Amino acid sequence: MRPVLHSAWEAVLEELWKQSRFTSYFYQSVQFTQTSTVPTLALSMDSMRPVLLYNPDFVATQNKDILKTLLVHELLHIVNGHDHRQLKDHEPYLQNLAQDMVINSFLRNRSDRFFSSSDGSASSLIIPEDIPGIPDAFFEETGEKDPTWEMVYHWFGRRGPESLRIFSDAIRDMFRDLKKPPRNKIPDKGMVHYTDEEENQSSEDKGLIPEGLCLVDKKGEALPTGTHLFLGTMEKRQLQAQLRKVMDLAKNDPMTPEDRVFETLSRMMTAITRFQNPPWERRLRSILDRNTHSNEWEYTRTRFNRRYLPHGIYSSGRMFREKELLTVCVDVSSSMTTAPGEMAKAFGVIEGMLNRYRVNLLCVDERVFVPRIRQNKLEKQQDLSRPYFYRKGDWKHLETGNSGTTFFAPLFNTYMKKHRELLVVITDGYIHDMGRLHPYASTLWLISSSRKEPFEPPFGKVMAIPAESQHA
Amino acid sequence: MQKEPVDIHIKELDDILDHYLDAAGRLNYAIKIVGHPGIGKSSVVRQAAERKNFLFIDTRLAFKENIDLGGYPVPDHENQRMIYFRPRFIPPERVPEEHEGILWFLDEANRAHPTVIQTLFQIITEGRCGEHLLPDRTAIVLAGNLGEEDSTTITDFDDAALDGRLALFHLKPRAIDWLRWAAAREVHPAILRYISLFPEKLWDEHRIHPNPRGWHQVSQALITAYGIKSEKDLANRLRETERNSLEKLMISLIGDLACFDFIRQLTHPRQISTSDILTGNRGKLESARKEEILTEDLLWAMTGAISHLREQLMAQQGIPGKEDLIQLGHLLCFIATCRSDSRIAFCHLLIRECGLLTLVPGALTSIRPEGEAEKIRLSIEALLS
Repeated sequence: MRPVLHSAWEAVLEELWKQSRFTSYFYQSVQFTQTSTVPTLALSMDSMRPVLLYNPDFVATQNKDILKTLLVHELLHIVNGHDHRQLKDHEPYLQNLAQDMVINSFLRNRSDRFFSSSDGSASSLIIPEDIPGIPDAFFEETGEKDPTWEMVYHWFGRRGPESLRIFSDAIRDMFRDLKKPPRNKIPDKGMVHYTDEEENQSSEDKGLIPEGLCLVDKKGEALPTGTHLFLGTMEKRQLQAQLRKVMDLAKNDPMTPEDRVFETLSRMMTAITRFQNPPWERRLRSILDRNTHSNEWEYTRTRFNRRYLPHGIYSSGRMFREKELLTVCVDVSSSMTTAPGEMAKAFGVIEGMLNRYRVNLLCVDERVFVPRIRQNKLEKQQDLSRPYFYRKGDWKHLETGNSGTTFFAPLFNTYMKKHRELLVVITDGYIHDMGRLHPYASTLWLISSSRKEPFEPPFGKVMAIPAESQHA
Repeated sequence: MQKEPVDIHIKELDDILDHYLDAAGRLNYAIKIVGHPGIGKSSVVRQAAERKNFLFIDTRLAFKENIDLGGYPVPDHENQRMIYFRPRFIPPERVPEEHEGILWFLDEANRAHPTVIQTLFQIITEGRCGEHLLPDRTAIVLAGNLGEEDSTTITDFDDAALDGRLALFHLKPRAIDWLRWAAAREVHPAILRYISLFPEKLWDEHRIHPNPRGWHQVSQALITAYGIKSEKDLANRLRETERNSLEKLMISLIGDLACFDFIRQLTHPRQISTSDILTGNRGKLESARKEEILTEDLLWAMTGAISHLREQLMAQQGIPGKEDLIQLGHLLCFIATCRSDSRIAFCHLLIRECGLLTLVPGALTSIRPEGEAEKIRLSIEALLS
């Protein structure tokens, strides 16, 4: 194996720099190495450093858009922590297929505006048509929007004939094991290289064929998708550590906050953003504190202290007061295109108060609904009488874009009628029925920085979430 | 409004504590040290007590209730009153003869119950704990965490009255202090060398791990639990991929980012350093041209060099010296050897972050031979166009 950069990559990597700072920085830390041991390309570790193994013949036959998509695809496998090696009680072929499908569908759903650029425009990601995505039947049956590979895997298992194993064996033909010769020889050797002894392999590659699987078409030819190498758990962890290191580096770039990829991956990978600049956070916290009473242990004469009572001494004991309720309502309409990290900022403060408040979470678009996070997925519950209490990290699953309109009347005129607690509304302030809202004095409007015009609240207090640049 | 703690490093804190103990009992304030877990807050205070021959009493306030501080109540039926027995964890009535004074260290102050925090007023201002007077030469030092900033659970002091009775310091560890401390305690040589080479790896302010305590724990694990005393033995042990339990133990103590970096430095050392770039190491430059230097090593060395130049210029109010231009010239030589995307990125960093665009012509004149400078100039112009 030689660390040589094929000329085809030059243009791809230059474009990546313009379209996604984070993806570019990540691949700047990756050694591009030519090899014939993989039929397409694969991310791996070598000498504890990330390496992209790629087949030069494969790269030569692909256009730069497909190569760019492949780089993003491989990156997403790491972000999602996909383990290509067979997990206990899992069928390896089906598992690998499900992992690829999840990523391909994720990219297809966002392909039109996948990248963002400094001028506010967005550019797309080209997804090859012949690579497998999640079947439509899965979405119809389950209603899932953004499933994990495990969900897809189990769904396949339930539909498979008789048992998962038989179904998985049927999928075997979609893959080629790198350690085994291909089923069909392809006459055109210029297209795909295989790893059997008869191929023109350099001597340095002999005996170095990694363990892994590659998706193939019906002819046994490698599809334009990444090869899944079986990495050890420590190697996988090293790759994920590399991601976090590069995130730290990318954060120093002023263009990174505008990088849509960075925002998406940050949501998937990281916890709440911590600010270098706490005044905004403190101000929000103090408003919340002033408007609701925090709970704590308090001494009361109605309880004795059990430590002293056996000795005939009466002393006040402690009593725990119930946590106060705080309702947080998030505008998830499509106009609410928050700048990266805004939701994280707002919920960063709210999460800091979870030890003192129960946070009743609501979402609003055309209607008000109770979100329910199950298996890292947001479900809509129309039954408003069953509240959902926010748990740390739930903000990551609150995706905007549910509808184009925001109506707040169902929230203020119906739901809040029976409530007295402080209401925090996270919105961009583009509200269609502003004039029809019943006043609810204990409202705090948190307005996203994407809004350029001033927001005049019909009642309650208002605070603007500061833009990223204001934290710099 | 909360008083903001003053950033301080260990050497400065040592000095402050020495003066504070010299005047123990005659001052109307206490010292409070805040900081991330594992940076050596308790250790610094304990050493100050040893230096000044003070009896060191360490009390964890998180476990106490305000009733505990007042002492155990015992009914005196004869005199119809309640007697409070002096708790053992508070300073005794007199300073022991063999000591110069008492240092009462109230650790985990921020985790204490709010009512316990209120009793601190009495301790600091009156030298009294419940019914019990503290001896004359008693010094009070508090320590606590930061709360959200370092992911710890705390009770906010947020009390201007109490703040007004405290000198508040935020302890931030420095590699140079820790190395001095570690050398005296026979910390593992591999760790000493690694932290000397990469001082920024001692402590990650944002992720909490690694921290000085974690490195000390790794050292103890290596020497005491695994019996690995030399750097060579450790490198050999870590190369045994089949037995990576040690690797996992180290990850659990210092986090995976620091651990992998530490192991990599031992088993597959970085091929190039920031200093190689700034000094224009010809051998390394030649290797970079032949694409023999690993991409990742080049990336971190280059970003380190750019950061160094930026800090250097900031320190000089943006006016570059001759040495800066020479270093920038060396950096440009290395940038010219990089992959196209890295070339764009580094030029962007130089221009946008460091504001060095106007210095590039001056730096080019320092590059030898001149033909090389011309090539670099053309490649930068191509990028900018």
